[in-house]
Parts: sequence; structure tokens; C-alpha cells
Amino acid sequence: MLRPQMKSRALSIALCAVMSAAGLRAEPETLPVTVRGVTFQGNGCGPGSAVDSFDESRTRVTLIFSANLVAAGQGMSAGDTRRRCEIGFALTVKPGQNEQKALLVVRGHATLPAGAAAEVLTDWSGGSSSARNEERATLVSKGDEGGDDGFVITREIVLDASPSLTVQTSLVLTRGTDALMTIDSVDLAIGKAPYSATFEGPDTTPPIITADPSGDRSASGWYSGDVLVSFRCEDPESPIVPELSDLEPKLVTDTGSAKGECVNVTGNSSAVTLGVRIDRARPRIVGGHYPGAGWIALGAHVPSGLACVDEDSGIESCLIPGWLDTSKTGLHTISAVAWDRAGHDASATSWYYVGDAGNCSEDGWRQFAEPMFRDEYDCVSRFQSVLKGQ
Amino acid sequence: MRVMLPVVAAAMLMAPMSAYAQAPDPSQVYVQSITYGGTGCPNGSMAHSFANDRKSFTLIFDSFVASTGSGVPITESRKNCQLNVNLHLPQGWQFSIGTADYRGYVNLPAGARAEQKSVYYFAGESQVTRKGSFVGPVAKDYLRRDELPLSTVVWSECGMVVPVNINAQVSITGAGSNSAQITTDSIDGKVRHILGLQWRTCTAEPEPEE
Repeated sequence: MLRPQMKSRALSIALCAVMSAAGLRAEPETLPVTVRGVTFQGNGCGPGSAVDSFDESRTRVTLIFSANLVAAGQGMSAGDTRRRCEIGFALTVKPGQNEQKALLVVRGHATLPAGAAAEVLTDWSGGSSSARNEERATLVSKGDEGGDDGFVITREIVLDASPSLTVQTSLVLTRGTDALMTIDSVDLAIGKAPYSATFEGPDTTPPIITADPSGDRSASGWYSGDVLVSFRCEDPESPIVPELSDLEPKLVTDTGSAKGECVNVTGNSSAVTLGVRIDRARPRIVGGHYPGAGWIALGAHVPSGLACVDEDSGIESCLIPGWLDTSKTGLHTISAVAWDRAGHDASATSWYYVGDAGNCSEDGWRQFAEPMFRDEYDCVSRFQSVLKGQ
Repeated sequence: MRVMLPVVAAAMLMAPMSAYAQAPDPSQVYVQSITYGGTGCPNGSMAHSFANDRKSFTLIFDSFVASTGSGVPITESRKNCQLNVNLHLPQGWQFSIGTADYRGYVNLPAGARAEQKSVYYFAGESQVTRKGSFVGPVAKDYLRRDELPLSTVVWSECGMVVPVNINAQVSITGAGSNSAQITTDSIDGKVRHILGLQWRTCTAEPEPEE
């Protein structure tokens, strides 16, 4: 059973395949030319030595031969160097149909040692005049270098309104010994078939898999909460096999990784591992608790003592005054704002008092934290010297 | 030679043997029948069997042998058997993998080479070739497997029967007058459904094959 995501994926693959199916934009109308039957005649396709096979649309016919071969050499006679087969195709032609393209494909094998030569002749006739087609197809295979291989001869022919097509194949060994040549099959393919059937070629390219994380990712690559990682796999050459692939979305709740894998029908695979860094906590602002009651002497140079801290993603930005404002007496506040790399922010406010000589009387000098005074006199002197300095 | 086992009739015949015999799934690709011919499989020289679901078959050959040697005609040095495997393709798009296992025996003297080759094609389409080679001296059984991804699209609502051609061949070269042989004893074919999409339902009554 395919999971919903897999079904969706399979569906999209299927739709792509259908859309790209060569030439199949819509269901074909009634086929203009079909093959009713086939007859054979000749010493290359004697009774019982050839079979025919049709597709259901009867636009594709394959003839398979068991004795359509020529040979020269040990055990062979001169008569074995030529074979002929005349194939008659009985056609049904839709009224008004005057022209229809067809492919005639002859497949065979040749073992031709150096010095041997052979010919495969293919010609055809059809039409109301039943005259031999002037465009006679002649293909020659020469084994000057010697060779052993298959051959495919493809001819595009044009069918007219005639209800018959006659194709003649001839195999002739013209020179040499220890040579063998066969026609294994002849195919007739008329027009476009009402289906598409193709073997996929070798695919050595792995699919392309990508990971797509949900949620906002900071510029520094951090997330502030759970991340759902989805996977997307694409392969323009071969469909993906959902059963063998791991494309299920992964929920990442803590700093870690999510892995996906994709396998296509040819066995090529790709994997992707996406590292995810999660920082759920805000940054902290530390410091700002001043000694004693927090009195600071007017004009004293006191660092703010504040700092931004984030143990997970770290501090992206920190706005704090470097020094306390001691230019005026009275209650002061100091504020700080911090941003971490996941996008969280935090702010804090501290307070302190700024005092002067008027705060030194009696035990008032003890309130000061910065600087600390020995006694009232020390306190008053401090501010007097400050005034002198001004 | 045509090997035809009508699907409906086959299912009826098999029913008494197994109440749970798996019939062909019309929504997937399966093998309806096989036609064959060639120098390596003359009429009556091949036996066959199909699985109940028609997704696999076994062909056994009596005379699929290429050989060389003193007094052996050159026509024996290469044999072929072309199979016309009639596939039932369901309506819609299907992606399947066809597998063919070739089992046989090869015995070559030094200097000789042999090849087991198969050409696959649909009439009117380009072909793909898979092959395995042997270099003498060697005398052993062999198994060679071809795997072919197959993509089909059929618009007809009840699918269509489309033949795929498999031209299996064995040949020997370089043996001179020395005795050598390579055989194909059996072919096991299988079609495996991978993905498919159908956008119509077949409403027609099934018709028995001719």
C-alpha cells in the first residue's frame, strides 16, 4: 500500500510519463490502415519455416523466419548462397485514405570472414498499378575486414490506397567461404500505434533528491522551533520506486539531521542528509546589578557591566551602553537588547543612582558603591576635587 | 509456432487444482501468449509453462545449440530463437521491469569465443541489445540475466495485446574446425509491475481468445 505522499509522487511520475509519451496526445481515431493477413512464398520462407504475429491494433506485424539464411563453406552447396522470400500483406484501408507512412524493418545476422561479401535486397510494391516500386532498397554488407554481427535495415515506405503490399527480401552471398547470413525477422509498422511501448535505455544517472525544511531559517542557518523536513526526488530518465525510497517527511525537534533516500527503477540511488540547528531559547543579558544600593558618584567612569549571552546559537547582535551615564544626579536606568542567531531577542533594564556631595552627610557616604569612600570627609573631598577639575 | 493458452480457459482449467490460483491481474502487465521461430527453435522443439498469474514463464529448448567442429556446417555456428511475447498491457500508463534468465552450457577450446545475445524490441521501435561473451578454454553451465525497464501507455479502455520481440542468439567464432558448442537450455521470463496509473475502467465483457 502506498502512503499518501508516495501515491502523490507516483501519480506525478505517471502524469509526466503520460505527457511525454511520444506522439500520444489523444486517443487515435479509427486506424487508417491495418493488416488483415500475411502470406509467404519463396525458398527462404517455405511452409512451416515462418510465423507471423500481430499486435491487437493490427498496425504492427512481425514475421519470424527459421530458414531464411544463406551460407557458403563446409557442407554447403551453391544453392545455399541465395534465399528469397516474398511476403504479401493484405491491408484494410479506410475509405478516403490515400497515403500512409510505414516502416519496414529487416533484422538479421552476418558472419562474413575477410574477403566475403553479401547483399540484402529489399524491395516492395503496392498500389493500384501493382508495379514494382521504383525506389528499390539495396543494402550491401561487405566483410572485407571480417565480422560477425547483427544488422538492421530500416526503410520508410508510403502506402497508397491499395489493399495489398508485397515485400521481397533476397539474401545473396556473392563472394567468399565460411560465411553465414540470415534474416531473422521482418517487421511492418504502419503509422502511429494506438499505444506506446518502449524499453528504457540504460540509466546510469542517479535521481536528484533535495530536502526542503519548513519554517523560517535565520540568515545564520538556525531555526527557532521544530522543523519538518520534506524530501523531493526527481529523475528525468527513470521513475522513482517509492517502496525502495525513503521520502517520508521527518520532524526534527532538536539540533540534529534528517535523511532522505531516493531509488529509481534502475537501482540508482541518491541520499541527502540535512543538518538542522535549533535554538528555542532567548538570549540572556547578564550583569547590571551594581554593588551596594547602587549609588554611583557623579562623574565616575563606570562600565555598564552588562553582557549578552546565548549558549545555543550565539549572539548575533548586542546593544548595551559601554559606560554608565553619571553626568546627572538622581535615578538612572540602563537598557540592553540582545538578538541571538536564531532570531530571538531579549531586553533588560537596570537602575542605579548617581549622587554628589549632598549625599555624603552623616552615613550617606556609605551608600556609594563606586567609588567606595572611607568616611564623609573622603566623600565630600571627592566631589570637591571633581568640581575643581571642572 | 504459436503457443496460446487462453487466459480464461487457463483459469478454468486450473480452478480445480487450486481454489486460490492467482489469475492475471488485468490492471497490470502480463504475458498472454508466446509465438516463436528461428534456427534454434524449429517447430515443436520448445516446451513452455506459464505461472498462474501469467507474469512469468519458462521455455525449455531441445535444439537451441550452436556448434562447430570437423564436418559441422557453418550454419550450425549460430542459432537464434525469436520469441514474440504477447503482453497484455492495461489501459493507462505502466512501468514494469522485464527480466529474462538465460541458462545453458558452453564448451570452447582455446582461441574460440562464444556469445549469448538477446535483442529486444517492439515492432516499429528501436531495439536494445544485451549479451554475454565467453572465451575458451571453458566448459561450464552459465546463467545470464537481462533486466529491462519497460514503459507503456495504452489509451484503449480495456488495454491491448502488444507483442514484444526477443531475439535470443548463441554463436561461436574463432574455433576453426575444433569442436565447440554453446547452448541455451531454458529461458525464464518475468514481468514485474512497478508503477501504474489507469484513468479509465474497462467495462467490456471479457472475450475468449481465438
